[in-house]
Amino acid sequence: VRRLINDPLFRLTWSLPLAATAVLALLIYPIYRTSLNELDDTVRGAVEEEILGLETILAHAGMTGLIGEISQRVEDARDAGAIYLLTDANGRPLAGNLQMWPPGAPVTDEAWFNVPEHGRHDNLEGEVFLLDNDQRLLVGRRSPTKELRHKLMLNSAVGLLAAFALCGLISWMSFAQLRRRFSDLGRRARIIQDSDRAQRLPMIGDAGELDQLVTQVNRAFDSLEQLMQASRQLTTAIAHDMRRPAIELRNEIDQVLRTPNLPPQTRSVLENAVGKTDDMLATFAALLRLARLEAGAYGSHMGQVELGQLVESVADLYRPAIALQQRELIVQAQPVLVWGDGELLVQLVVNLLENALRYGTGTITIAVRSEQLAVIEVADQGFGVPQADLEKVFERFYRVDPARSETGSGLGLSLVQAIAAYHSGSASVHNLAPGFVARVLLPLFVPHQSESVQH
Amino acid sequence: VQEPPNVKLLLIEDDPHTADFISKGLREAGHTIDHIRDGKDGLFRANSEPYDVMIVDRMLPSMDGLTIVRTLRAAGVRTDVLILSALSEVEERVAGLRAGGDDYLSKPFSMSELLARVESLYRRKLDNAAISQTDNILRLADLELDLRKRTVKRAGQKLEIQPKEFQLLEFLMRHSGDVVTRTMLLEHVWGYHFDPKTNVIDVHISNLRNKIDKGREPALLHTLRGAGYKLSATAD
Repeated sequence: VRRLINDPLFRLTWSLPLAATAVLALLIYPIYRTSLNELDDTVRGAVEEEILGLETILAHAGMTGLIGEISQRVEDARDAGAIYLLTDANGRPLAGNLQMWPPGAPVTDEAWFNVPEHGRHDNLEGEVFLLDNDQRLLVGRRSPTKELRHKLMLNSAVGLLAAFALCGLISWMSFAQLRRRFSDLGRRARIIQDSDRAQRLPMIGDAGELDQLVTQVNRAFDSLEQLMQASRQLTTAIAHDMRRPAIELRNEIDQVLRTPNLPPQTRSVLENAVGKTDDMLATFAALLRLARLEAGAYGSHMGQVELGQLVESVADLYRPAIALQQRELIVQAQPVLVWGDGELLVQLVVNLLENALRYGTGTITIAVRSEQLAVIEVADQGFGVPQADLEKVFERFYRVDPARSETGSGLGLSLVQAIAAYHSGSASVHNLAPGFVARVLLPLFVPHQSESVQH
Repeated sequence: VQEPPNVKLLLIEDDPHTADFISKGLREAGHTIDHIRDGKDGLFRANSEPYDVMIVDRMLPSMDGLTIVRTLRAAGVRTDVLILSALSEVEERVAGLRAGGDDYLSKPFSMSELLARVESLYRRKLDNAAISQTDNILRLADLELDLRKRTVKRAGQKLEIQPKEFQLLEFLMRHSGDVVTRTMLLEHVWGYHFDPKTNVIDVHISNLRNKIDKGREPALLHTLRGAGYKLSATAD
């Protein structure tokens, strides 16, 4: 709920009709006040007139006449809310329709009063008149403005509510459209970032603020793409150009190593150097292969590949090496057919396996099964990858702990992802509790489609 | 005991640095080598002189390496050809082998790898005296590998051996006396073309050695540091 309240679009959606309703309420209030005041004046006028009338009757017909007149008026009940009370000097009732002198009403000649009626939700309003012998006459109305107030309030409330609803509807509709547009842009931006870097955000074409924003974001995507391409081209170029001197270096060490009677210590140092050069060359080769795969320029050899058998076979190659580390390898492979490059897929499985062997601990499980897609999973019982870094494992040169792992180019999983993508598939990694699993999904081989799927 | 072979080689390679490296290494190993830089000249030389093995680069001026091999094969020249290429992708390798190449090596390679492959190609066509194949049994010293029954015996005693270890041993026996590299084993026994970062082959070899050599004389399976392995009755 807090997130909803903090959402600016949500706030706009509701603050606009709220503001409109508040303005409307401010406009209505003086009218309401004026109407009530006017009614009040009318009531006062009527009460004053009545008192004048009663005064005249008192002057002509005396107290008895007055009492009669009051009783008459009470009985007539011309006005349901009219109140009359005639008391003696001590406040004992002589005539009228009130049982007692209302508490709080002043005993002052020609005094206006407005007091709450005892025991009811009404108020009594009127004028007090002291007669010659301190007898008191009270004429007034019971809650004279109550009905009008209620009516006005009801009407205003209905009006304001309707206005709020209408404004709310309009603003909700227009903001819903805006929201859809924003979430659409967000979704597309995500797709661009995650998979389709060539795509761009669409414009409405109204040359408005949003279109300007979209243009800016697209420009940012362009620069990002160019930067990424430039950095990739640079690494590829470095890998390509450094290969040659590295090969020459390796050849020269190789030549020295072939000298007979080399001291064992020198031999060991040189062999180590060859190993390091080979690692470097392997990194260059992996970078170049990545570049070719990503450019779709890989000279592949597509055909039907049975993943279950492929995985069994790679597992057989690695089983002794895994056993040597006192670890177990479990293979759960079903026969699954995909259309692909067997050698690349071997490389993919090998990279996943070496990853589990090098960075994981405990039993390694390789599973191949067929769901909607072909699934290859390699799991281990290690600590996995910090949750925040899960997306990064596919980035080039990413290592969980750069300080710890000297070996490894940090390209193994990048190649896995590139090979999966090359086969129109995907790769993902997940932390288990405990353990770690890398999962590759590939499209299943469908015999009659083989021609069109070919690269 | 095998003498190191003297292989007569033709190298067709335009890159001077690679050519120097190859020529020097092969000559030091006791082989004879002629070097040609141009594709058409190379084809002419291959047609006019007998060689044991040819090393042909994939990319050459005036004529592509694959065209040379195809032309030679069409002309009935059966000389073993090792194709070199800067490209290691499977399509390249398949194309090279389809054109009539006998082996394929992608740059960079170590001298020991090249030597092992050249000597393996050379020996392939020779009748290896140490091994009798008349009764479908490969023999080396007192080690026997029965191809039909898929069994292995040492000094008449049957050894428990896994199917993959049998294939590994068969390959080593067929190349006994030769240096066999890890890459060659990976390619021929497993059919894989990648560089494992883990020492997977070493572990297989050490398991195999435990089965055939442990507690026996002489040791047959030797590791040659920086080069590969050799199955031989002598330590060399």
